[in-house]
Amino acid sequence: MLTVEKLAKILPDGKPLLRDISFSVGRGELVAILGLSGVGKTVLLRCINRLTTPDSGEIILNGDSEPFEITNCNIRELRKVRRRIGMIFQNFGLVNRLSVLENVLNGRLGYTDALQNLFFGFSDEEADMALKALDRVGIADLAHRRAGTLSAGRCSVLLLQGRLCRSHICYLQTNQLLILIRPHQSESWAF
Amino acid sequence: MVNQTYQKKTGQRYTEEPQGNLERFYGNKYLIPLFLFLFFIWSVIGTDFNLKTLVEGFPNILDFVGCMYPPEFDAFSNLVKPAIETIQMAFLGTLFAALISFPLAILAAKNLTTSRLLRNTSKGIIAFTRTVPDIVFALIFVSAVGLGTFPGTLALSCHSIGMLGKLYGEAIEEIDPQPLEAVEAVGASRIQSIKYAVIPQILPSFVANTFYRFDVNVRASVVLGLVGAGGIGFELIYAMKLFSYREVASILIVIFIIIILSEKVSDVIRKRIIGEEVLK
Ligand SMILES: Nc1ncnc2c1ncn2[C@@H]1O[C@H](COP(=O)(O)OP(=O)(O)O)[C@@H](O)[C@H]1O
Ligand SMILES: [Mg+2]
Repeated sequence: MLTVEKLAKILPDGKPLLRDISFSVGRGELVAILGLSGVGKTVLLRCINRLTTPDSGEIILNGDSEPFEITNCNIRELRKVRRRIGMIFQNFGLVNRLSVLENVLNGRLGYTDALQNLFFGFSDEEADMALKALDRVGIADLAHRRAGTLSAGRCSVLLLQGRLCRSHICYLQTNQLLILIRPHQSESWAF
Repeated sequence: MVNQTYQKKTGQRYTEEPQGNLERFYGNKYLIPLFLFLFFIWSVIGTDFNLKTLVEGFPNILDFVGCMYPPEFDAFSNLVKPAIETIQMAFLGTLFAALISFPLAILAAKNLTTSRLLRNTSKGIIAFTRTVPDIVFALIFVSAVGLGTFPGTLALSCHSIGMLGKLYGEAIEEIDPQPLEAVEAVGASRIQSIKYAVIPQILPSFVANTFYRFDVNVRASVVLGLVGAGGIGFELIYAMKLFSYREVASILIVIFIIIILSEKVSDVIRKRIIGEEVLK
């Protein structure tokens, strides 16, 4: 489903960081990348949704639809790819001054029409969806609190919900060990 | 092997670099104050700064201020209209400037605009409007559209773009980059990431800077009276030309009241926007 082929990344100072990285991940597989600090794990993950552009190599994402070649697609296609990849940052990357609900909704930005969203914001269905996602992890009561006031554990749960608010097919996470408190075991997350 | 060279390298770094830094640090420590002191002396000479003349001339200051007392209280009723005009001028001038400088600031910010040409062009516009003094803008617009508050408003807008654009731009460049990357990583477009990751972060400084500029514009509009750009400034210049200093005093009191009022209003609005964070 995700294939990385001969990926290489050279740092701005000329040192090679990633060299000849190849692997593939199938549907439903859960993969961990282990390595010493500074070895380039985060850079590798950032290449997968092209927050960082690799110097050579290919990354191909096969989903239900046609395969995407992430390493060389245009901005329009990139947006489509990115909305199918959930990424959780080392420091979460929440917008602290926005509410918890708004942060979950941010996870849907890849789907909304940019102009309509600029003037009218998110639709009621989307807000509903986000509230349900929060309810699933038992923090619906925090929906209108500012995200900056949350504890780290809650931040990660919140972000996961935000990223799950869409039909993702691939899920990246840098470093954080998630401690998930799931009150409703019936729900399962598809990785 | 590898480990040893690594240690050697880091060992060298840690023994040598700080020393070099310390020397540089102490070098600077004496150099900058010395430079400032020389600049001080030079400026005192250059501006004919002389405390003795000031002390000798002090009685004249008292005389002048004495002429202003008591303020012409009858004049207040005639000052209401120009005072309102001044507030309106400052408000519109600040509003238009804010609307124009915000997009300019986005185009000038290193972290949002990659095109160097676009960035330098908007930086150029911002710097230019800051360089041209408001009174020069006022002269230009007075000659274009005639005397009154309209050219004054235009002049205030143009000159305010310079300061607001620079301050907004700095605020944008100082945002935490991670939330911006995080919304980009879910496929947000540029406009969306500005709306959801940039604006929430800069909102407090945006509001504070805009209100500060309003304050500046109320005072700047007074000077614009010199070239006939309406408002209370026009009344002030007129009264000074007629040597009616008691009226000058009452006009100053009115300006003082406007400034205090705008400060109160801006406090209330800023608390509403920024203060929530502290409360919750
Ligand atoms: N944008 C960048 N510019 C320069 N160096 C970078 C950049 N991003 C990462 N690096 C360097 O790449 C190395 C690997 O970083 P990272 O992928 O974060 O490691 P980790 O495996 O701990 O996640 C680090 O030494 C870091 O300094
Ligand atoms: Mg890392």
